Amino acid sequence: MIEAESLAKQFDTFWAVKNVSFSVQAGEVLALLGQNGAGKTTTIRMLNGLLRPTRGRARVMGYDTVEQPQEVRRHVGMLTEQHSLYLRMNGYEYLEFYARLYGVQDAVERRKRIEALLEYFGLAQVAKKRCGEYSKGMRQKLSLARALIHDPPVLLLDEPTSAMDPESANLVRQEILRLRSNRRAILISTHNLTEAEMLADRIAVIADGQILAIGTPQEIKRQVFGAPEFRIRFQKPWEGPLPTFPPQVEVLERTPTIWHLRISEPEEALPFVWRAFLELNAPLLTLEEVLHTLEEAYLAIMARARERGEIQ
Amino acid sequence: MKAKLVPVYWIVRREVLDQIRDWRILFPMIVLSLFFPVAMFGIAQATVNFINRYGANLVIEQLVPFSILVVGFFPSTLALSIALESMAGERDRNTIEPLLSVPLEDWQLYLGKLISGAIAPLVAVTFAITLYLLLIARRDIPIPSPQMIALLYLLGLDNTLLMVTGATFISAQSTSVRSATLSSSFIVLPASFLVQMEAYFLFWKNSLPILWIALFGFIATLMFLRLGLAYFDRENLLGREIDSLNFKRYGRLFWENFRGEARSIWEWYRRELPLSLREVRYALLLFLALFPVGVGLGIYVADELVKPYVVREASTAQKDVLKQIDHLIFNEKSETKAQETEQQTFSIGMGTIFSHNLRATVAALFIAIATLGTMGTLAYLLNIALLGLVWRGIEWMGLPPLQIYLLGVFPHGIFEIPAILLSFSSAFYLGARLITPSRKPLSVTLIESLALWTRLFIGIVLPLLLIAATIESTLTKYLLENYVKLLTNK
Repeated sequence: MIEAESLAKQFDTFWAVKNVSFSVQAGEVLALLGQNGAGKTTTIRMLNGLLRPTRGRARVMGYDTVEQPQEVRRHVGMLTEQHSLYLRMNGYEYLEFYARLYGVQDAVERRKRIEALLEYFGLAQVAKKRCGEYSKGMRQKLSLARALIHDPPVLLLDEPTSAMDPESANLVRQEILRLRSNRRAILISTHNLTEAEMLADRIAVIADGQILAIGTPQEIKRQVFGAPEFRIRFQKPWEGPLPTFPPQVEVLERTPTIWHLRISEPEEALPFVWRAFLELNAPLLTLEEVLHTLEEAYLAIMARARERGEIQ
Repeated sequence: MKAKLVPVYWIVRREVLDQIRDWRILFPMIVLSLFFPVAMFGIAQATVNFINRYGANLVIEQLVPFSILVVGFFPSTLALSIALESMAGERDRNTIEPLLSVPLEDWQLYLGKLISGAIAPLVAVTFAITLYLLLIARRDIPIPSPQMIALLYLLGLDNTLLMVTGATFISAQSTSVRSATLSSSFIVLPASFLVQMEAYFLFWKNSLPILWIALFGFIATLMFLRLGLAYFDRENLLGREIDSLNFKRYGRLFWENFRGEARSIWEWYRRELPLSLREVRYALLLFLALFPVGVGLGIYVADELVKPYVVREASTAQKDVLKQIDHLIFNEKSETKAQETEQQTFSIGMGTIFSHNLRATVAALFIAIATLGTMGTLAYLLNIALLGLVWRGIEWMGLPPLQIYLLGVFPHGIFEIPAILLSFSSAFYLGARLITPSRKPLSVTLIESLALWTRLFIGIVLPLLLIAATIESTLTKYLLENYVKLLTNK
């Protein structure tokens, strides 16, 4: 549904995006995770046909963002970083205005959609109030409703919760989670690790206009820290011989009470590891995976990229 | 088409509703269209009473149209505040991105903004003039003729539309309301100048120049509209953060475009210049086609406008002219003095001719930039018209124009006329390129076009003008001298 191939964007002499490639399938949520100025907004604007790539190309629903920008926009719902509402309009008028611009011409259909969205986002009670009177959370929810007014198959959400208080941000995140569907592709840009992990199936770490890592949170952690690591604890100190492990297993550290192993295919290898210890009558207590947080992985990715001179 | 105009209507509707809900727009609108005409009426009445005391009725007749012009002009300034804010304001309030994300074409968005910016000032202008007319109709103040009233309405609406299109264009090109406001002098100054000219001709009760001014205003409106549509660019509105003049970058861009891919002057002449000529070929063909039109215009002007004033007895004229030429060429000087003078005439003549032609070609460029190509065409036609005008003049003097042209125009004309043709047509091309839709910013298009014009100017026009001036001051002079000798039998 969304395909970006080697996208790059230059403003004057500054490259905001250098090389970005990814795809988002129907039913999938991809988070562009990166700090401010990483190139997230520029990437999203290129995907919506608002900015023309200097290099590379992008397709949304099969439409080229440069050649067929109107078709792209017709199929995209866009949520911008700022709560960009017309403050003198009320919520209903605001949605009606955008429904008309997105080509929802049938009056009955339009009213049904507006009312359903206002109801869905809990704004029905304040529909006749001017947007200027809305709280930040309400404004962002109304913006989300606007992005959905033409029932688009693709959603581009640019920093949906930035500059929001935790409660409002949580509200909006819950709404985004509700928006997931099998037929919809969602791209979120964020600098919030928790948000990325909570909302996205896959994460693309972006910095200095380039994607440094992409995959599910687990895959990213594996890319950074290698195969999963496991810790085996014994009930009492054990100095037994080294068991015969399958080739996927590497012993990282060994103390009388704790062994630290790296297992590249744990689903396959773990039963053999367990059995090998049992055969040696090792006093096993627990076997647990050593968990790395996404934050650790993110920081490690950034540090490595800096070491290699890929980013500044 | 109707389906495409429907979203334009919705944009206009939203904007107008927004304006109505904003007291900062409503208040000046009411003051300027309701209270201002009343105040003006009071002033007019007091002035009329004062003048009546001295029986200067003539002044009253001129005063009323002028006061209508003023009453119509002030509400039109609303156009500035509304239109300047239209795009830049949305950008400042961050509402522009969702609007640009809708599946509408650029022209639909631009037109929506333009129309919504025009409605309030147009209504205010019409209302103010009408109210003022009604007020003076009820008193003993002479009302202008229906034609003059129609003309005054036309001027009011014309001025308003000019300001709206100009301000909307500036707004779409600005990064913030502040920068749009700072740039508003580009609209205020020419508009004020136009109004002053209108006022001047109103006092002289001269409708024809006013109609020309109105026509000029209308053409300028169309040009601003075209320029606005050509340069309305979503990327430009979102991608630019600051307005700054980066002379280093502009200089580099100019040089890159001027030099092209050539590595030597020879390569530049051999490869880059033909490319530039190819680029302006249609403009060149158009100006070539306009050549006979220009000559015809000269002949027409000579026959219809000049002839009745200047033609005398052919023989007298011929005699006078030959005498004058004879005097100019031979003068009654010593041989040495004559040689010195001839030498001086040669050097001054060439320089003068060259600098004159140079000024004309450079002026063509500036006229083309300022009027986006349109007035450059007129300037070209006027230049070419001289050929027709002079032809007729020679005929009236009883001299053979063909012979004179073959001797006095052809030798240098074969260089000078192509140079003028190329210079004017490339200047026209530059203007036309500025109003052609482009994905590049206006500044970049302007610099690229200037580089193209400079290429052709330095590479072809300048050498041709130099050759033409040399020939004109030597060979042409020599041929004419001998021809005159022949005619005067010296």
